[in-house]
Amino acid sequence: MPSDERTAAILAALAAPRDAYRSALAATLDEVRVYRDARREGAADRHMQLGASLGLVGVAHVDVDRLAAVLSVEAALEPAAQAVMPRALAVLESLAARGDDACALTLVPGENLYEAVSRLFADLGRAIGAGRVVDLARSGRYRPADHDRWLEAFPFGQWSQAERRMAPPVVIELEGSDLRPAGLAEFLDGGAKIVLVVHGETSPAPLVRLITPRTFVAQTADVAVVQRLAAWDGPGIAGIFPAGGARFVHDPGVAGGIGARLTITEVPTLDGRRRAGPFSATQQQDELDQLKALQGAAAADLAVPVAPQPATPADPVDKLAAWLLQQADLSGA
Amino acid sequence: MSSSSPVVTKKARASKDAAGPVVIRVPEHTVEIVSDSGEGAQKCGQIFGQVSAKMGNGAWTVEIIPAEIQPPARSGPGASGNRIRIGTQPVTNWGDAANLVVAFNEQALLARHELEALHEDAIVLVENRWATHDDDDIRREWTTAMEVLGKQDYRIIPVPMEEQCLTVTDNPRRGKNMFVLGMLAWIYDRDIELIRDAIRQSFRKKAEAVARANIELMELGYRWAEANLDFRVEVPIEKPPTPMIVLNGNQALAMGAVAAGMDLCAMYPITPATSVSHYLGEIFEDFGGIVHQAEDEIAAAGVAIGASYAGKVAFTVTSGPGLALKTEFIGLATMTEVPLVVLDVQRGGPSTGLPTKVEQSDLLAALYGQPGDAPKVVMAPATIEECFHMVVTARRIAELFRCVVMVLTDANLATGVQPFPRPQLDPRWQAAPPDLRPVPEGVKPYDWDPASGLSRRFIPGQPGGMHTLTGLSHDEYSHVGYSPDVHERGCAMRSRKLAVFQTTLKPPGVYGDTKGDLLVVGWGSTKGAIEEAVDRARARGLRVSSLHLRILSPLEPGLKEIFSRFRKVATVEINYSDRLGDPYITRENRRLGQLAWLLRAHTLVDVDCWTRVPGQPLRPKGILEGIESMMPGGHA
Repeated sequence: MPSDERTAAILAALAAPRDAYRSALAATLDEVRVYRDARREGAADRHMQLGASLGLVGVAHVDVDRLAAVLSVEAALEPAAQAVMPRALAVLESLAARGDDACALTLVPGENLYEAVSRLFADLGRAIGAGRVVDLARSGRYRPADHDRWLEAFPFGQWSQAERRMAPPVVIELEGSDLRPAGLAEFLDGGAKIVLVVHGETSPAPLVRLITPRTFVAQTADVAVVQRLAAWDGPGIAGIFPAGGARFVHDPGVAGGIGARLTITEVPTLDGRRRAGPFSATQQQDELDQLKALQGAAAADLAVPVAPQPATPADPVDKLAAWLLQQADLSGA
Repeated sequence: MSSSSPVVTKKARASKDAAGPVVIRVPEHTVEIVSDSGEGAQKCGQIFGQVSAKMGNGAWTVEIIPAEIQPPARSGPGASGNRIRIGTQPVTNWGDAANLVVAFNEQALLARHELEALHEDAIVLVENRWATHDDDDIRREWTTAMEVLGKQDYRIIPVPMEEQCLTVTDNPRRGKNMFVLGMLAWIYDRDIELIRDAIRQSFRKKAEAVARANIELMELGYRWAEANLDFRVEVPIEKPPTPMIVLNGNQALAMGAVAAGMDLCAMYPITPATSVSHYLGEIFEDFGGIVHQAEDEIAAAGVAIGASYAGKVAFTVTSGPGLALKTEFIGLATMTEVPLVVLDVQRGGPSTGLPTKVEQSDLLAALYGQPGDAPKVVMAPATIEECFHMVVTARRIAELFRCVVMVLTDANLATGVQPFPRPQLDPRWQAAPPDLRPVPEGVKPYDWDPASGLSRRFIPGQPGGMHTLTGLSHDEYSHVGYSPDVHERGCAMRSRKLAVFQTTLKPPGVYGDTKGDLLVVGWGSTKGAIEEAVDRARARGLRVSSLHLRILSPLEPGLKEIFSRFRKVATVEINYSDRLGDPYITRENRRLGQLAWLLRAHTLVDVDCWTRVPGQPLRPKGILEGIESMMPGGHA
């Protein structure tokens, strides 16, 4: 369980992406319950389920009893598939019943960060695994030997791109000496968001290694940065660090090049040459040099004059496209 | 809904006095905003319509779109804008004429007058800068137009729109629409905070300063109207009992696709269908779906068929010319029995036709566009709400019957905005995973039930299900058939499915008495206007009823029996038919409305028709005239 009071504020700031995950979970749960109810009820109820599946226009215009009479009833599930349904449902129900702090954990000093995050995603990912198991059972492809383990853990590496977009944000409290962020790059995909609340000394710019064009990366002492992370429609990591160390925000949500995306407010100098956690002084200096290099690139990017853009597209096809887009205004439904 | 009848009938005063504005209290009111293309009248109208609907008024909006991308400025054909009909009760069509018109120039106004779009005592707010313009020709045009308009009973109020906007912006051409929105907000007492929200939403992809400037212009218009106008319009609001949602038809189609659990929208841009994919493109990925813009219409159909064949739930969306290009692939889907939903947002044709204008002229192309016998299901939503729900139905029917389902909407539904009860989403609408169990030995890829033609669908990769997919005529094993018998049987099985589906349909309901002198039959977006015309006809003592079809192939059952209870049956459609009395046109050679052809063929009833192709929705008044002309004894 998280102990730092900042974690509560961080969890609150991450409500939107967490709600997206919970909404998908609830929708899956609904679908599985409806399916379960449809199968255990009588023929009349099954006709009702068939009717409902046609939508409101279908219900208004189709005689469902007659339709049911001409359609073959959905094939019975195999016994193994039938048996796994309640287990999948139980997984979904247990995950749905959890509070927000299910997405947070505190590392025991010395614990491996990569493994802990991996376990947390695999645990939360059981919702995806359970949904997949239900789909497989319904489509006749369920194999207990291959698929049962997805109800116990469903590792991030097996999530599809669409599933990664709905990844729940996670918050990890840890000691600076346990901060080995490089492995976390594996989880920075889709919509996955990781917030680290760091206690104690660590290297000065450990998160700089994770900066890529489409990844939000922030190293700061200010919890408010989490709101920007939550607003970003992509992967990201924010580290809330104690005093000292570098301070920067790389926000891909800001339009433009590296100069616009990267804001560096603090680049410290190393005081002496000593280890910080697992990082040697050379590695620490490398991080700072990398940050300075990015700072230089950002400055150069901002110095490049922007070529003037024509006010309206010159090409007739572009004009047409621009006009169509304008006509298709989809504001404010 | 009846035509508006002001409680206060005296004309609004010429100038404001201490007594405050006259309040015109009416059960419904219609406003038009017209400008040159690019001046933003449409955005103004859209926001006004949305806000009115959100406040609880019934609303129906219709876009007035020029045929050209950049028509000449200050020209009649270039008039662009929006008509918004709001009411205390739900509104089902755009009505007859506008009670209030806001015009950015007198030429657009004159064009609307010539199209009889203005009510005889309409109030007109018109930009006055043209009266004193530097260009002699423009001043002369203004004077000429005002002479024509001045002979009418309109009350014309010149408004210094540009002069006012210049106090806030350097480019009034980009701000007049918001000034006008502010005027309308004051006139109709709209919720100003809802309008601010709508403006922010509308400019959400631009810098914050853009939204701020537009809000400032809107507030300027509001204050100007408050200080200078002597009338207001009150259309009482009766909050609907259930939460409402405000969408246009294309947005409803897109949301319906999400609700139906669709996986893939394959399309190629074409007016007026494109915005389905724009809207879907913003949200589809969040639901695991993909919008694929193919290299052309044909490829879009091919991609959708391929995805569906592979077990995904796919659809393609297009309009008339695109439908023509997809013809061959729709035939392939029919022959291979790959479920496919085709959304056709109809526009005027043939060829490029009227890209931005409404027409219902794809019905026969949808039914019979493929060479060979290609039976398919054809449906047509009558309202924006049905656009949403019909996608769910279409998807399900396509899968249950392994067939092509075409959904015909039109430009009127596509761009019109109407509030409707917020759908209560049902997980059962979502597509079930395809059956991927191993195929038992002996089961064939087209294991047609000899009675129904139905068969289990195979998905590629299914153990034991390997077969060759072919567009050639084939037998149950999907082997190319060389004997006459094979083709005969395949055709019968594909056709039989439609017959089976027809036996599961309920007979359509009749609007009005179930027997009488004239039954008007319609389909698609004309429902609201037809029923309003029928109400007016019945109020005049005519024994008229109407019937609106949603499923056009197979036709809903019991039509012949229903028709037999009326002395005459006639369709009302937005497609072309010859008129008796025109040169060379006789009863023998007269070409009829498309639904009329279909109904005659199916029922052997002498179905008449009243059709028009004005490039705009039908008006209740016009339909009423049609009804009167078609009463037994007369012909349209």
